[in-house]
Amino acid sequence: MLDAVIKFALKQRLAVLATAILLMVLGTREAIELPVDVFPDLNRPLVTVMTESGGLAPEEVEAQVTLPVETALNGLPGLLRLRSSSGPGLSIVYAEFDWGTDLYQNRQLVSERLQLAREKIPRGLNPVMAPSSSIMGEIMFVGLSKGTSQLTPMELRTLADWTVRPRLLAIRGVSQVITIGGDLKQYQILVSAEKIQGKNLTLEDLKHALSEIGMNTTGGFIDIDDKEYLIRALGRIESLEDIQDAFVGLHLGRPVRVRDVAQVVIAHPPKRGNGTVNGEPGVVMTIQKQPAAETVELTRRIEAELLVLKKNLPEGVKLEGDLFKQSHFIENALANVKEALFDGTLMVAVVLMLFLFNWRTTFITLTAIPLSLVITALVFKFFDIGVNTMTLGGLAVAIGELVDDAIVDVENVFRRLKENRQLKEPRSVLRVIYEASSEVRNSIVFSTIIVVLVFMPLFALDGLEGRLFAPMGYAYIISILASLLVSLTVTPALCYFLLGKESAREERDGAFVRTLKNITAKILEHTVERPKMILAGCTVLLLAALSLVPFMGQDFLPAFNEGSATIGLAASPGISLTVSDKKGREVEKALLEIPEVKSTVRRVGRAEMDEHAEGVHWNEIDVDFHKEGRPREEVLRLVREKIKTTWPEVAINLGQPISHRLDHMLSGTRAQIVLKIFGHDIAELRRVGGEIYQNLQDIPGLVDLQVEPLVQIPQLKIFIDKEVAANARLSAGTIAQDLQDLLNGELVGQMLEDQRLVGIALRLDDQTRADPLRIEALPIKQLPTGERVKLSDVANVYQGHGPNMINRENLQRRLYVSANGDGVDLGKLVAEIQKRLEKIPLSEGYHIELAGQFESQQRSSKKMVWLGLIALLGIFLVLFFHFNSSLLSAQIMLNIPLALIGSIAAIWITDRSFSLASLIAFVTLCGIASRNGIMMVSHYLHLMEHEGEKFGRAMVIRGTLERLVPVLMTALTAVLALMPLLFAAGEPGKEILHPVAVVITGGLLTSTLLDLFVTPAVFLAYGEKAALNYLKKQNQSGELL
Amino acid sequence: MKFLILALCLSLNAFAHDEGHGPAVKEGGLYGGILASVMKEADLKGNHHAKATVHYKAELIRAQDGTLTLYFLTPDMKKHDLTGFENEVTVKMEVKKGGKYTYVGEFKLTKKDHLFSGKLPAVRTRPFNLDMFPVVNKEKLFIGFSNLD
Repeated sequence: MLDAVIKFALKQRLAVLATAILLMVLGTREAIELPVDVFPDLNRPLVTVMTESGGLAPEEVEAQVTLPVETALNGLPGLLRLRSSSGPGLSIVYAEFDWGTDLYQNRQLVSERLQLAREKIPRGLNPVMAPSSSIMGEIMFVGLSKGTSQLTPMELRTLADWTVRPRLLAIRGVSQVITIGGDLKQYQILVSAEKIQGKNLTLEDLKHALSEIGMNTTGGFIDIDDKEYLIRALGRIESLEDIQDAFVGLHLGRPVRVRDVAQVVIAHPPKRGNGTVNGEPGVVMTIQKQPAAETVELTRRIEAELLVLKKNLPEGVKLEGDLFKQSHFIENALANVKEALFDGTLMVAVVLMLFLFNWRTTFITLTAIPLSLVITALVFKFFDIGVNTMTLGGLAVAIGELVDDAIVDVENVFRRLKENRQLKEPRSVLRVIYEASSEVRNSIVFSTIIVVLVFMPLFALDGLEGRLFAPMGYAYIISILASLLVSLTVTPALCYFLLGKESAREERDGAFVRTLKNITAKILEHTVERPKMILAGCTVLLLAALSLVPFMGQDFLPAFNEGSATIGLAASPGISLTVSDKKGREVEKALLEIPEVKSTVRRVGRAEMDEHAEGVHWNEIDVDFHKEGRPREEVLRLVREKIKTTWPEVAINLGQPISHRLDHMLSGTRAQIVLKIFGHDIAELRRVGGEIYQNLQDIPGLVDLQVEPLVQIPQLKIFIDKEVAANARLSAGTIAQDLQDLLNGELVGQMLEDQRLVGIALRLDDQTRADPLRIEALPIKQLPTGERVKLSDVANVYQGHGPNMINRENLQRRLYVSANGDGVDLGKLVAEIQKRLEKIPLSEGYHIELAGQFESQQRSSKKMVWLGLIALLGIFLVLFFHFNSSLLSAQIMLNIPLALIGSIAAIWITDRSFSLASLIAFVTLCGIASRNGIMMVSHYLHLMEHEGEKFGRAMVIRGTLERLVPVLMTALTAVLALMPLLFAAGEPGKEILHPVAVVITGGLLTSTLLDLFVTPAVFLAYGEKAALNYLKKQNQSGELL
Repeated sequence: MKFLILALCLSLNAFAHDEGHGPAVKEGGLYGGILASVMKEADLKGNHHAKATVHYKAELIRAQDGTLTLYFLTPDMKKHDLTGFENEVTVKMEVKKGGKYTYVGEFKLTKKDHLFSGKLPAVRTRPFNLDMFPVVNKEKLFIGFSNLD
């Protein structure tokens, strides 16, 4: 069939070339329009359910809100993990679904189950789903600060909430804009405990009266003089004075108004978070994209909108969009990988010219690259695959191999045409090209099948690593198959047009090739009859290489260089927002002194309805660095120093935005190593966490060691004595509810101001609220006897402690201890951790799980080893199918250990650490390395079958020298095309591709060089019987090679 | 006026207990528990809690099942291995009822490796205080944990 393809391509050569040109045009257009992102879609479908729970303590939030929600969601189809966080006044449940499930169907399922959960949740609390976004969806920050204007924090926040945010939300692709910082505007009715006592009113009276604060209503329609009138009752509160004048009750027969018992002020509600921009107070807006939105394009739209917005803002106000932007990294990374692609192509062209020494053959061979790439782009378009660092990386790795099939074909056609011209009666050019292409098509096809086959394991990887590497595999396989198609169609057609009429003067090899052949011939003279010596030498090299393995480290993925940093500062929980904010700002200002720091955005605590639920002890600073400056490691060391000097007692978690979010997705936390402790008692979890911390803290190379800050924080507790309360005809529940409304505040209405809704809240004034004695003196109820019941009559008010947060995972309470490695081998760190964990006894019902990057690395490495073995078996089967000889198949596979020598040596010289990317490259290398052996052995057999050579020394040397050029060319093009990735460790976008390049380059160099001597010697010593058997079978079947 | 001053003093005293005994401990615990200063009992005569020398810091963890775990830390918050400590710590318990603390009984915590542990008797009302009396090198120490629940 393949011969028919070649024949067709030669017959319809003009149509083939026209189609190729058409594909170039179409493919180029499609390639430009393909969606662009930094990584493939790594978002596991996640539905977040949030319930603002007033002032409930974490224990109550867990019991009354989180548990019912979790129970309702548990067992949903496709649900992988349920995580929750119960903090003061907030419950967040994260339902993580399996890859490939439909997000909108998941949301529908969650929505249905929430209906059930609502029945079990206290009245007034409403679980809602957060907008459909993703952990990778936080694409940029926008900062609003007063600049040179005189705007107050409240005016700034109002501007952000009611002018900037709606405009940003209206941009197609924006899912959510979360604002933090400034002062949220609220009308507050601050009740004085003394004044309501003086007016003989109770909290109950006040709440009841204010719950009916004015509103507009309708009285339907009325007809007057043939006209219809809408009846409107205009009772809506329209000013602060309206609130002050509102009626709340009677005292001594006279009306009591709000102003008599309370102060009405415009103030901000109790803050649970704040924000700063470049160290200045301001409003930070976090923009999240919709899952399918294209980050770079969306960022451009947002930037355009910000430019328009800037013109409409009050004079002097600063609206900053050039803070952290995911698109910075994406654009940088993609530009770098594109540059690698371009440079790789250039390298390939140089190698081709050097070897072929003929512009026509170079041109024909090089055509395979753009054609294969545009065909890949068309296939991408068809299957809706986007451009990202991994797909581009797949192409960058493949670039050198895209010309391999064409090289083999062109080299053979060129050689056969030269031979043909030397004949007295040259045959038709078309015939020669057809036969030459047909001669090598088997080795081309089988090599390609093997190369494709070894990439298959990538598609069996699951989880994040599968999502990350599979697109690389798609790109590689599609482009390699495209290059095969080009070599079977366009290459022969071009050979006809460009080589068919080539003059006979170019019959000799170039000087470079002649030199190479001479050197090889001389070495072969000494080695071809010494197989044992050659094999022994290779075995020694292999053992030497393998002996290096135990001294190398293990990593999950190479570290990204995002050009930014996410700095988490965890103060001791219980710290007030004011202090945490002040210290965090000091750190931010200190960081801005580092010349490499371009901008900072800081968020402390959390914003309203933000699923990024953190306590006020947590400061998160996102730092954007200048491209120029000192090396990243040095800058980060300086960052650590600055923080330690400015805020010595704070725990630091230093990472990068995207990497941190990937970690978050892997383990639900943001660290390389995570130990999750599960159990039912939060106190015991904390104790075990502390024991683990104490045991691990002196491990060298372990940094950022932290116990999840789930600790005891100060609480002012009111213990209601139910017996005494019952005597006063009060239920503990009613008292608790009243206290919640008054101490925490209750929204009693809303005021419409210029189309903006501003809340009206009722709560105790700060004087009463801030003093435990005054809280104790609060009147709770007036008995029919006229006697007033105070809080202290029925309750103990005391300062105690309680948990700041309760986290759960899969319906169990959980606490984690996390750490990062400071540039050391994660594998060794974890081994030491596991050794030390054995010393810590655990109570019944408690267990520890290892998570984080390391756990993923272990799991995926094991899987890759198994898949690699299966791939090896696959290679063997394909070879056996082709050669019908296990000995010949095994001989070809000798290239694999030869490749291992170079790969391990290359890792040792460069990174000294195995990552998942290295393992994937190893498996890939098995296929690429086998190609050399196939080409060599196939040619020996061809010489014996078609050119009358006898099995022996002369045939082997001739065959080796004839195959020298294509073997060296294919290997060199593959290696040199990887150079731009090899010498770019740590450059954005090339981080994951660098280890791949290291392994393939090292492996191909050793396998190619050693194979030139191993295969001839081994074939000569042990291949005779297998070769003769093969030829015999071929003759019997009448098949050509 | 006298009555008002007396009432104020009494009520302030009630909340004074909320700060615990001895010099205030500002650090967070190493094991997620509650911290208190450990002083020599002899130094507390005359009720000079706030000025007493801190010999250790103690961290108390109370599990849901009533298990109490007590760690001793050095004043600069390093783990202490309990060298020189006697095997048992006597704990006296008092509960707040009607605005006053009342002694209700005592129990023991036993040394296990680098910590003491024991079981808290059932208690219905809240808050309660635990006064602990460890002995180290024959010297009686005092730890006061207040307003527990």
